[in-house]
Amino acid sequence: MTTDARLIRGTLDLLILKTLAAGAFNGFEIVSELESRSGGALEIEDSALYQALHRMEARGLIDAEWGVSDNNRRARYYSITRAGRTHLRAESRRWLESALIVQRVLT
Amino acid sequence: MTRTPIRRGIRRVFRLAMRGGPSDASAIDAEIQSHLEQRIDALVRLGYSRDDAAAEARRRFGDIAAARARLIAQARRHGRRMTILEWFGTLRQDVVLTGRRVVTRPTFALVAVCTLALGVGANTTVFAWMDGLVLNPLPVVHNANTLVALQTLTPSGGTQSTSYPDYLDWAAASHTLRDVVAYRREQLSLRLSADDDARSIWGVLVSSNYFDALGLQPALGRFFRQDESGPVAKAGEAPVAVIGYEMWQRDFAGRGDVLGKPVWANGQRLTIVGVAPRGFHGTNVGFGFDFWAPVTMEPSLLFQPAAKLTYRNSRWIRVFARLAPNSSVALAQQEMKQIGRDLSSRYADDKNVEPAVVALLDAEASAFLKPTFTALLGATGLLLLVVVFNMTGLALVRTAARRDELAIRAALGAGRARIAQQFVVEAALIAVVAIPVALGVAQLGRSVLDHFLDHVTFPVATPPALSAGAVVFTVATMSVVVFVIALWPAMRAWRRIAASLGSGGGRTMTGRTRGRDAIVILQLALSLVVVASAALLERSLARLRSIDTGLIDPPHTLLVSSDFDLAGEGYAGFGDNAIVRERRLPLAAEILRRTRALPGVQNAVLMDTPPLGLVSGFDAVDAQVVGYVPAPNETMVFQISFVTPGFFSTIGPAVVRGREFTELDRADAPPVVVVNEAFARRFWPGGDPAISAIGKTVRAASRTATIVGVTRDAKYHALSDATPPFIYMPYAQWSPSALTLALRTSGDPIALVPAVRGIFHDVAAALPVIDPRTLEDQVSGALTLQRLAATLSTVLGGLALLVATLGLYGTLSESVERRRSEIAVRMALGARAGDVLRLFATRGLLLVVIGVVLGTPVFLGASRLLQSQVYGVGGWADLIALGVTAAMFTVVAVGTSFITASRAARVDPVTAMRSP
Repeated sequence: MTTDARLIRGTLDLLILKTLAAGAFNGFEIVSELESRSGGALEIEDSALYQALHRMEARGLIDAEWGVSDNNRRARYYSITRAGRTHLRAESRRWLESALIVQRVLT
Repeated sequence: MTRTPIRRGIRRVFRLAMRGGPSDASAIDAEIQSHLEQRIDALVRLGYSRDDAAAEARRRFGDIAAARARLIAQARRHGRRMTILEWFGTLRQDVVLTGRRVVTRPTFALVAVCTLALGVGANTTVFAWMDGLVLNPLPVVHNANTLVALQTLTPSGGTQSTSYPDYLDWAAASHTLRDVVAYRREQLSLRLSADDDARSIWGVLVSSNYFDALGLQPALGRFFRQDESGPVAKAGEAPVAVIGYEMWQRDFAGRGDVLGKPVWANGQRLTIVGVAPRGFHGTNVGFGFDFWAPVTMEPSLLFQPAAKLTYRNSRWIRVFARLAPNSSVALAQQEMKQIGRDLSSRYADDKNVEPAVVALLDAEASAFLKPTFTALLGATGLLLLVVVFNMTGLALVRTAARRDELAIRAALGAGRARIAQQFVVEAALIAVVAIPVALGVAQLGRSVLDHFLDHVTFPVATPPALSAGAVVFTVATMSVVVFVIALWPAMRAWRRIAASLGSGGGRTMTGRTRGRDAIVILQLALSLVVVASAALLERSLARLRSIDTGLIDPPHTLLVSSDFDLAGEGYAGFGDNAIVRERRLPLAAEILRRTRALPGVQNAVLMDTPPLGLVSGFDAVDAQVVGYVPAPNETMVFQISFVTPGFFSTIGPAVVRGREFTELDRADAPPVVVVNEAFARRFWPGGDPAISAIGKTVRAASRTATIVGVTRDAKYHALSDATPPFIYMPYAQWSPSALTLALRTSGDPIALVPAVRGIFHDVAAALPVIDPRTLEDQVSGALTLQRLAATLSTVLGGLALLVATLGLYGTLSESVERRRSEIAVRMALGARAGDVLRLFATRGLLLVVIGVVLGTPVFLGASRLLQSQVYGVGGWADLIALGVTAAMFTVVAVGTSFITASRAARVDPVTAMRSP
């Protein structure tokens, strides 16, 4: 699939934040979660995911610390910060609004 | 499990360092690796073989190498930005923290600011003077380092002035020098308008290339032209003048129409043609010249024959020159030697004299000030060191007091740099406050120095205390000093903290005090050097003051100077110098008659030049002693003074053999002279020289005079000079133009000044009244530099001792605090207050003794360097000064120890042991 190629950057950030709003996950878990939620329609390239994660961490939208995964592997766990939640709320609304407009025009 | 990490939020709350960015390279690798493994696990669970799973995981990840590089670059960028932001954040914290600490406990900051400001300010004062007078004495002048001073050598190897024709020949013949300049400083009476009061000024008569050679441009108008004072210009034909910038501003309000205005110098009308650039005061350091005229005007301004410009044996010119490109002092020296030989062989009256390049002009100009200011700079430097050690000691004590706070910060992750930064911020804040205060101190010091120049009889040009150089010096010194003071304790604190973290904490930081003791000892040793040097200088000054000057009653003697030539116009109006000369005696007699009639005046006399002027003004003559054959190259030039009858009994020195001058030694009477004992000893050694001298004859200035009296040896120029052979001649037989009225009174001499001014005005309205002062002031004026050195080093020594005492007090009382519980235990076990007292007094005394022992060799070294500054203090003097200082230090130490120790003795065992 090539959906991810057209997935604009802001959208990926939004999806990640949405996922993290539910709790702390490591990178692999985030990808799996996104893929299963989209029913396999979204295939995200892993490297793009990490770039987004690190960028958001630098901006203070998410926090990270090392922890241990379910099957006992060391992994870096990301969690959403307060700033991240605010950002998520604002950006979701914006995205939905613009999607609605586009939908209205197209249909 | 791993150690519990400190969460960021906690770090933020406690203001701890936030490390890393998102990740560093190894963390990124670990994260990628972890991701791949989780993916493989998942794929294997789905039924992939392990190899297939690994391949699929890599494919899904994308270009791993590229992703890794991008992530690392991103992390670095972020890291850099965070570092800067974080630094600003911590800086703000530290500033706020320090500010809060200063507000709650202001003592340390206050003491630090005051001590540093004093130490640095004193240095700035002396530096500003050094800079202005010694290091860079010709500030406005272009490339002062290629200007050289030239003088004529005497047969005996001394230096003297140069004749005008010699100067012209040098200028024409030299290739190593360009712009060879002639100049001559003269005291002139100046009037700015026809009916203005005459004022006495110092002016410079210069050749036309003077300003060019110095690389100066006029602030207004022009300088002198070739036809006015060049080599071919005629005497007296260029009545023009250039005035100084300050005079232009002060007396002409800086107006442009000053050009073309007339001024009267010694009664001659000169036209102002230009204004010198701002800040230029001539080339004699310390003199503030404000007036320039062509050197060709010398004869007419001074009422001398025009032929003065052509006499080869009339040496009155000073010369400086600009080295030609590719030339050097050595080359010029060589060439001048050759030129001298050529001139000697050409002119019979120029035998045995040769020109010599003496030194760089600015070095020559300031040579006389250099030793004094070097010594002062040494003293202020030592004071600064004492201050530095003192503040370091204080900072160490404070660091120890803050050990808990610092330890907590270190334990919570503050690194070495972070802790050091806190100290540096504190230091910088102190410096920011202390710098303006130090500049204020420097300004104050400057006015103190100015005060010492009150007695100086020439206009003094002093550098501004707050010149850009001085400000830069202050800021630089303060910064260096403050950071040294800050960083040492910071490093020490860090080592201690590191050690205490390793050993699990505890009271390790209170352990040793040896470092602090050493600091106190150093302070004591260094201040000992300053104080003992001051004692040496004071002793030397006292010796100089107690020197027998041969003067009879300086405090009750008033001196008023004038000069018949300076009266100018009224007398020049008679046309010929001879007539002027004849008019002098009746005027002088009238002045004396009226002065003697003033109430309280015991006697009044006249002389041409008063003794002990800062600038020696005595005339000198070539003389032959009849019956004495001089050795080859023996100098037979003697200083002379013209005095009226009663001089020796009124002013001194007293006549020991023969008689004084009397009213009978008139112009038409046989010429007579009085000489001093040094003169008699030189020519009639053996037996009683003074008796032998009476009745002998001396030929001088084409007259043969009989020695009728011999005076005691006296001081003529500098107090520390050896007594030269000296000749007195009757005023009436020579009627010189210069005159100084001296009167002795039973009352306050200064109270008579208005009356004396009145007499001068009545007798000859145009006769200027110059610098009325007591003879005592005149004598102490001769000691200006010595007084300056002694007084300032005493003040500096006092400050150093004060600072060192504070250091001693600080370390002692700190150890009392620290050993409070120990003292309590001792006292509970039966020690008496006296024992405790002795314990601390012994320690204080021990510190002082070590300080004195360490300071002694340094001082002995310093006293060698001071050798040229001290007078009449033999080999024992420095040891005496040292002994006195050491005794003083001991008293201070015992006093300080006693105060702190008595506090220790008052410790109440019960409360002390209960408190932690």
